[in-house]
Amino acid sequence: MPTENQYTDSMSVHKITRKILAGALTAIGFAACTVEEPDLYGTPLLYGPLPVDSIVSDTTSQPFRGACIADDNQDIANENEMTNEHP
Amino acid sequence: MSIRKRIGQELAHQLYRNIEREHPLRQLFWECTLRCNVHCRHCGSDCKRVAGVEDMPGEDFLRVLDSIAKRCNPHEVFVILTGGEPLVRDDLEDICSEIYRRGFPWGLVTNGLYLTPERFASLRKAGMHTVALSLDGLEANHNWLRGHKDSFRMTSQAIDLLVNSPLRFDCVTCVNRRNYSELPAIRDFLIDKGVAEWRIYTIFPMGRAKNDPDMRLTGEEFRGVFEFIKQTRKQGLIKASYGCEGYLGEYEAEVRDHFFHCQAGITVGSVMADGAIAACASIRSDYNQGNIYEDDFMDVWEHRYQPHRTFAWRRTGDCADCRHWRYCRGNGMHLRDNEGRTILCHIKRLQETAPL
Repeated sequence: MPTENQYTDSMSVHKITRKILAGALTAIGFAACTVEEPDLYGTPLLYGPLPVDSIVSDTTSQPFRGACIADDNQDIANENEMTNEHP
Repeated sequence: MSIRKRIGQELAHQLYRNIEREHPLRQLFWECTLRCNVHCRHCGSDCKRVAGVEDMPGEDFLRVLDSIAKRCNPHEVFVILTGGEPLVRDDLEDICSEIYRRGFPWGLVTNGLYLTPERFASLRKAGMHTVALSLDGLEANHNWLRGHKDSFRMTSQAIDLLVNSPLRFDCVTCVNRRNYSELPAIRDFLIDKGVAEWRIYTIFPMGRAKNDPDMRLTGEEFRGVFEFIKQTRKQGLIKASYGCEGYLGEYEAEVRDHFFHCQAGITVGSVMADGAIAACASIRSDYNQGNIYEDDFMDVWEHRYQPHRTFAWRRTGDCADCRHWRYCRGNGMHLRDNEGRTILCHIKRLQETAPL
């Protein structure tokens, strides 16, 4: 596991391999779970994709957008957009 | 097993090996309290209303997140608050706002008793993304298991709140001898409520459930759970899934979307109430890997967790010559005792009965 900026290394060998394997799984009709996809969460207490407009699907450049944030909490969301700069 | 499924299983195996090599942290459980407002018969944490371990100060957990954010994209690490009952903490919203402000999506595992409309609104304001809500039967059985006479009514109200919100949530049911026969009725109840996703567990022998005969299904019932999930998935009115635990042989990819893979210590880490750094919160403390009060979480994540990321050591006892080893690899880590022996083999339990 890279120690810094792991998520900016968007095309690591591992990732490419995962994409190929996931594609093959999907092609024969099975759900493919890779760590790039939010549908990995087959774990004990929560699983499944986050709400559709959450940030997990794009991990490289999008500002943090909590899908379920209430309207009157928009200031927190705005603050995130301004301050949450990721390396 | 069909050729298609065999190929799928092998592809998934290769995929999982790949993920294990990189072991990217994707889910972080925080056992934010051991206090609880109910007294469940099957509790794996053996929680109490007044816990022996004090609640971890929020700032201690936030320091863990700061360590993670230096090395991982916080957007990719889903924080899950568990317990005890997380909602017994009065400072939850304050802490969760800080979790959210740091860029981590977060969700909650709750029994729903304290999920009032006011609390729900404040949690949403703090950035809550998902909820897993426990429902262990219809009224009599749920209340019996939870040890609380109003539990079902309040959980039912919590379901109404969640159904009428845009949050993604699921209901989680632990099947035991008492509620097994009412699984179809629970399903109908959830469908009527508008619940879209339902996760079903069989109870494993740990915590209070270990010595309770009401918790252990017969072999026929055990298989019956999987047949029920298969049938429910085919029906298509609610997305039922078996929980993540256990390699299921013939039922692989039939009762869950994915093939079995225990992700504890591979993509899943935990911070326990006493600061212990663990993998899945259900795993025995013998397998803890450090403590946040002594170690940096990410150093531990990157350099320890060998028991979770290696498999040869598990190939003893019944696993030694098991023909399912390649894809099971010793079942879930939470099903290992302090000496590394398996305490429950799903395949063996299924083999107690022929298909219904």
